Amino acid sequence: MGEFAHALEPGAFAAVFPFHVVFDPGLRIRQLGPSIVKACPELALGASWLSHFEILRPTMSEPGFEQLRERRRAVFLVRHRSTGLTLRGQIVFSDSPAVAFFLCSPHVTDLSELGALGVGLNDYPLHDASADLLFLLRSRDVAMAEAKAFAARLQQQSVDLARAKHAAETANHAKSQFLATMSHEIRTPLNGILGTTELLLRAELPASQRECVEIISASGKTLMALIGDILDFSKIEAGMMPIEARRFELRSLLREVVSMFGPAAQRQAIELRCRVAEDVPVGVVADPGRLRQILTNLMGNAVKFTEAGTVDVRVALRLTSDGDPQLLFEVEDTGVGIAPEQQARVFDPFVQVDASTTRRCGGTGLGLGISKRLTRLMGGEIGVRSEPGEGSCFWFALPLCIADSADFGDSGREAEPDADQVFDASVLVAEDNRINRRVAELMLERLGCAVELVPDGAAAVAAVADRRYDLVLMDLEMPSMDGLAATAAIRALPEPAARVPIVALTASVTSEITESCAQAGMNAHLTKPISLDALAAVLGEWTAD
Amino acid sequence: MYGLVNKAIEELICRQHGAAAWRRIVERAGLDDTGFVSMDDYPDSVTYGLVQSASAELDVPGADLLEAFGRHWISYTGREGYGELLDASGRSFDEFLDQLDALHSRVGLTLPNLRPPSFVVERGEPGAWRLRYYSERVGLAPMVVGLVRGLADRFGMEVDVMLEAPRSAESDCDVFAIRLAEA
Repeated sequence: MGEFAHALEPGAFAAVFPFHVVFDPGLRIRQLGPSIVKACPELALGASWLSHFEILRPTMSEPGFEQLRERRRAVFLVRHRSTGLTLRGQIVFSDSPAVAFFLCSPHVTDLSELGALGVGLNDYPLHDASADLLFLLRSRDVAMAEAKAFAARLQQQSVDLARAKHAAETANHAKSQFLATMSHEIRTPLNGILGTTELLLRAELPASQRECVEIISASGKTLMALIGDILDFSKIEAGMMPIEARRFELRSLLREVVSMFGPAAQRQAIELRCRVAEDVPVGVVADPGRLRQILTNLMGNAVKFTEAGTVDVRVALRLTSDGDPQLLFEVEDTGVGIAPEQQARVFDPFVQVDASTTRRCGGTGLGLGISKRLTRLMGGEIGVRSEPGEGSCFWFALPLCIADSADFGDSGREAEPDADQVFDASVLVAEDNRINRRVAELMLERLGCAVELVPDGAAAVAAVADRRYDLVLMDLEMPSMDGLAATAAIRALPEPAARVPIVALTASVTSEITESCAQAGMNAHLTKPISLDALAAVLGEWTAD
Repeated sequence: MYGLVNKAIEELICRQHGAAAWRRIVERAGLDDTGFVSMDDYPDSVTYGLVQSASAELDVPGADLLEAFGRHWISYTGREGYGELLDASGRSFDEFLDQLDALHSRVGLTLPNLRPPSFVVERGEPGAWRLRYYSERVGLAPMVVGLVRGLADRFGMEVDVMLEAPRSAESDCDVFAIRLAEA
């Protein structure tokens, strides 16, 4: 390296060490850098260095010139007594003349301290990285503040999500309640319309009046079907459509559905055919109500859109690509058919392919949408093949679950109800709706029963405790004491009152309702609107000696 | 570029055109609207993409957007935790300009991958400066015009900034003439 021949001129030295202090062996200040003069303007040449500055590090009991020289390898941290400016640096000693150079720069940990001291970044020499450190520390603070803001936002989002979830659950519950209420409230007056028109139609009426009543009856039934569709669709969308797994005889159900369309097919000169492959088991486990609903819908459409020709209903077994057995249902007609571009849309809700037919035949456009969702709920699939002008074949496939066929002997078939039958029975009707009470009374009287009416559950319990009835028809939803509570109370009465058969009157039947009815001690249920046939069947079953 | 730059663009767009416009711009740029982290290093293509999308979405020339961004940048960083850094970097417009290159060097030394620009300032007659701008990035000269104007705003001044000589095959820098606006 050799001798250091070059040294800085005083001006350049001051630029490189703008905060320096030079003091003599008496610790009197001999020279000051330009920046320290700016930061500590009261510093004056000749003043005692230690009267202005306090040594924080290294720890020294009696700091004199020689003691300082002994610590020349130490990092010095000194604080200006009046401004609080802390300087960090080292002391370099010169022998000729004997002086010490305190070469330093401000030691701050935050940029805000600089401002308070009246020092700027331009007061730092360019070679000094401590100013860079200040920026780095500030960037760390910014990053930390941002992280905290993110955390707070996340926490707020969690709170918002929990609140939204609660609101959604509350809304869903309210929707469920609304659906249940609507179901009850709409079906109740319809029950009155359909029940009374049924009674009227069985009476002797002049032809013109009969026609009017038939129109009322048909309109009521259509309205009931429409409301049923809308409520079903809402239930499915709300995830509230229960799917049951019950054992039943498939062929019997098919016969029932096909026979429903007999009169309509006859009027339109349509031949209805039903073929079930021999290998299809007698008894299956599925939801018979929903299966009936899908079949009814597909057959209804087939009959509706076929001017004349045939409607074939076929059931066969098939295997999925995974080898799982399925029941394949097909409803094929020779009707108008569906254009290829419309075939994909027919299962969308509210889609009606032929508006003119809809106007003529009615419908919500929900039937196929409901059928699609029901098949999906039952683990199946649905589709259509069609040629415009040739006809359509709607099909759906459901997983096959075979029930023990021994459960379905001929003896299991119920007797055909007879609405003209006469029952010598005493029946108590507990129903809060005045119209429904009157309809039940008229129907029961037509079936030869002695009828007593009460408006609520408590009155029903009192009546049963007071006298003997052959049957109680109990509405489920009544003020003060509902049907379930009243049934439980009746079952707690002394014999023989406790054993009276009780049949629930419900607006809709779900497995939950059926279960609740059974738990309360009810024997059966009737769905509103009550028909004479259904009422006769119940009377036949529960009032027979 | 660091996320702080993209966040400043976001704030500028949201203030002037609304949050919905910003969401459309982000979508148009093919980015997720999950926000930027100030101290995270993003590819330059993200920032350029945002400016291009904003230009198309708002039907504003890209140069105008860059100048607006440059002017916004000074006040944005002042509010986002770097106000004291700006305070410490100069007590006057002239002093700040003098420190501009050192400031960028210091920042660049503490943030890896920043690749900050470099500046040379020459004082002319009173109230006039010539600024030479060196950058690895291209097309950002309008942003420098905005930055200088934003800096003048900070000191309550108004300046005219003109790109006197753009970067070219002969010159490796853009040269701007800065002049105090006539009162």
